[in-house]
Amino acid sequence: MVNHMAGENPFHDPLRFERKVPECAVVIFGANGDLTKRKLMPALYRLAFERRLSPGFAVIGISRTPMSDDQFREKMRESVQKFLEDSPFDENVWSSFAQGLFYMAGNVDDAKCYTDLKQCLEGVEKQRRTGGNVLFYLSTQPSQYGPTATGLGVVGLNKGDGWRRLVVEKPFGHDLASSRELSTTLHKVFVEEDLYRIDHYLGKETVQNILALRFGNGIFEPLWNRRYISHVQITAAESIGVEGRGAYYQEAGALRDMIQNHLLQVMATVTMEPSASFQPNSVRDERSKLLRSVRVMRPDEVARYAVAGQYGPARLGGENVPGFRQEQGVDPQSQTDTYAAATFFIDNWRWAKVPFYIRSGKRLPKRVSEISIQFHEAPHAVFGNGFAEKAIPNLLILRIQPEEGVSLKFLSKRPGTGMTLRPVSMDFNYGSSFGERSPSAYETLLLDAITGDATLYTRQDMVEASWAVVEPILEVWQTSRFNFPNYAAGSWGPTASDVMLAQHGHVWRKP
Amino acid sequence: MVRPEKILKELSNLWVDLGHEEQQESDTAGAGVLRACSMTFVTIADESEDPSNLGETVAMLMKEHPSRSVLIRLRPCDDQVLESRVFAQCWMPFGQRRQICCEQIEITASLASLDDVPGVVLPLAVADLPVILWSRSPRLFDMPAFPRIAAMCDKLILDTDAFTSEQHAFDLLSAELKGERLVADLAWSRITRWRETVSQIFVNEECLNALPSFTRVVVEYGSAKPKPEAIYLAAWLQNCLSAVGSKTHVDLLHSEGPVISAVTLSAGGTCDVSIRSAGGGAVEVSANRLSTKSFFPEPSDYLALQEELSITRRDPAFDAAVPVASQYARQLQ
Ligand SMILES: NC(=O)c1ccc[n+]([C@@H]2O[C@H](COP(=O)([O-])OP(=O)(O)OC[C@H]3O[C@@H](n4cnc5c(N)ncnc54)[C@H](OP(=O)(O)O)[C@@H]3O)[C@@H](O)[C@H]2O)c1
Repeated sequence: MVNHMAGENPFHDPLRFERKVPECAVVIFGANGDLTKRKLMPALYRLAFERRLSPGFAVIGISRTPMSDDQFREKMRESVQKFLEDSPFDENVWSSFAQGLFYMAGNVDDAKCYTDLKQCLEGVEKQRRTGGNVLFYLSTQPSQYGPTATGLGVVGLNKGDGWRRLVVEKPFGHDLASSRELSTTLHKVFVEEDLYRIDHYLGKETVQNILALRFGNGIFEPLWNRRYISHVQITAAESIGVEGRGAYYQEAGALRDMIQNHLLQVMATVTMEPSASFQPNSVRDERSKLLRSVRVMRPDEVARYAVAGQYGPARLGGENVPGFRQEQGVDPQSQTDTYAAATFFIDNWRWAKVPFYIRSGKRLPKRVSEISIQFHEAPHAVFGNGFAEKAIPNLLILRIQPEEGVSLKFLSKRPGTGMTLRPVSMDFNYGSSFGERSPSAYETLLLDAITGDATLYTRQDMVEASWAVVEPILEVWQTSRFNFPNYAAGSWGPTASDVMLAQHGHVWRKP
Repeated sequence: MVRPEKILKELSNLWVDLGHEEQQESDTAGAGVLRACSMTFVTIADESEDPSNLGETVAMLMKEHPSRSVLIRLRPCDDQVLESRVFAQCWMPFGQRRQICCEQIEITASLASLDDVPGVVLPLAVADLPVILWSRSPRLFDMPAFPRIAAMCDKLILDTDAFTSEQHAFDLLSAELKGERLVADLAWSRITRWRETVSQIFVNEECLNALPSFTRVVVEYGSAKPKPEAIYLAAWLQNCLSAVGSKTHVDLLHSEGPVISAVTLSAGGTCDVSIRSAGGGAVEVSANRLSTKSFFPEPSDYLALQEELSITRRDPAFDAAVPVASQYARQLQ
């Protein structure tokens, strides 16, 4: 007979049931926006489809546009139908889910919004039995994060019968000082444990798989250090341009938009020490420790270790593609980096002197995100040089998108007489090896926040550590005048980026 | 005569052929067939069963549980018959440019040749990966060759629903559970959605606190006599209630509707819970005066197997439910 602790649900069966999900209300500020339509609502619907949500579940959407509950439901239904990825839309599931959707028109800059919300929440709590638990989700413009949290605090919505958590979308500030300022404002209302800074990259199944690959297998960790690894390349390339978001992007740039948050977190996942357990703070402590070990560049090192780029017009696939400065809403003299690459070093025993090359850009030849781990060459070429003049090193490639998986490149003998070697690739593809649908990053992360698991969320010390790494580059770039554009749309970025690797005798991989 | 080496050679040729075909057809470099395997999945079924239905279920499972599949079809005759054929099941995952293929081996064996089956299947099992045996034919369990066949697997899957006597099925399961091998029953997997829905209700603290005061707990079934699913549900509820010190007996009651038509737990007004089938896969869940509608997918072998193949260790809730279910079955006789 199975024994149960007092207060535990004796019916729960962790072997077969998905995670226990407590009842709760999710309050979305900015519910009329793009993120809610494209990501949040489809993810919540999908959780309902998979019966992951408690019967006592409700969503309250808030934005300024007046709408009735039914109008909001209809609008959300259209969005879910449109943006639901690799998953069917089920009319029955929707109508049941939609009963828990509510809307409140309000302006987050107006104190009345919060008193109205308090009243609205009380009503919804009674009607839907959400148990007093509330997840506030800030999906408004970043400048409104602080005032919204403060507004919640003024009417006491940060505390209640159940738990109260606040999810904050990126960007977490635009530099170290502003991120600290935002954090101080948020901490006046919510303690750090109740703050969930979302980094959707960490929610991706493959990024989590990096931990499984590294720490679930015995064969990789012994090689995972400077003795065997020559260098690491992390690439996040997009083939599209700014797609109408030029005005927003102009303020951010590739270094801020991708490297400061997502790619440094990915690098930390690849390089951190194993944590003692998979408890949220244990994993985050290791990530944070790693980020604090990244060497901070001196201003005079920036030109050598970092490269900014901006795409110019080109003819692609029979079409004229505009350069960044020709995009709508962009300053024709813009100095924004649509491409950024940097060389980082991690100052610890495991990684001393191993270069980590990170690049991200728009209008590159294809959409691909991957981590390529390049091992040292064999110390002596017993078989001559074979395929190429130079010995070919082993590569372990962790692909994040589009085809998630792992490849190992190694040399093998060419069939026939003679000892001629050629590189071959051993591929493992998550998607096709397991036909199971992987949950989207937002599904994973929303469920984590509702169940109170912050493992994949970014803690303030991690945010600060990554700003500390990126800020010296930003400061130098801000005072520089670049001769932009310096790469054509559809190419692999500026030549300066190749030069950056060449100084260590390395070349960028073309994924 | 079937020789495992010959089957393995045929399999290997099959991969070479597939690789060639793909290379000729595809114009993209790097495309090709991808071979995937996470287990050997042996299915034993009577030859009279529609092979296309079975093939479809196995093919669907391949996507989530890529495996070498061995289908053994039992022919009810006294001649010595043992034949085999080998083929590949391939599909192109949505949005991808590379086919994924799994190996399938079909062996037809007469009852008279059943003793020869383990000798053929054992060498065919993929090394270092688990062997799962799904026995669809209840007859197999009573055959002298059964222990030898079962001995080759790491997990045995049966379906008590296919047995004419529930009591016999539960006894068989109880005996199997005493051993090391993992055992599963698809009738148990089919009630996961019901169990999960009950569990979800008790995430609510008010309901959880009211648990000791539930005085009447009923599982309603629509079939003429309760099927293993209804019996399991009652047994599981009984175990969960006992775990919190409740002495309430779980009753099985006949009513109109499907195999399980409702579960109700009442505490005399302070907290009442009911989950009631509303037709078309819909269930009406009401707890603490709040009603919601939920939808259960149409039960199928595929869904039940998909769940079972994901479980690679003992299932304590199932282990505990079998003896209690066996008692219920005995009382119902
Ligand atoms: N879109 C993405 O894929 C994505 C990805 C990562 C991070 N993010 C971040 O997520 C946040 C939201 O992004 P988004 O793309 O959804 O932005 P958005 O499309 O601009 O949506 C924000 C919504 O907030 C509402 N709003 C604006 N001012 C308001 C006010 N004073 N009071 C109440 N509501 C107000 C607006 O609706 P009304 O006009 O009806 O008020 C608007 O639709 C941003 O911080 C962004 O940086 C977005």
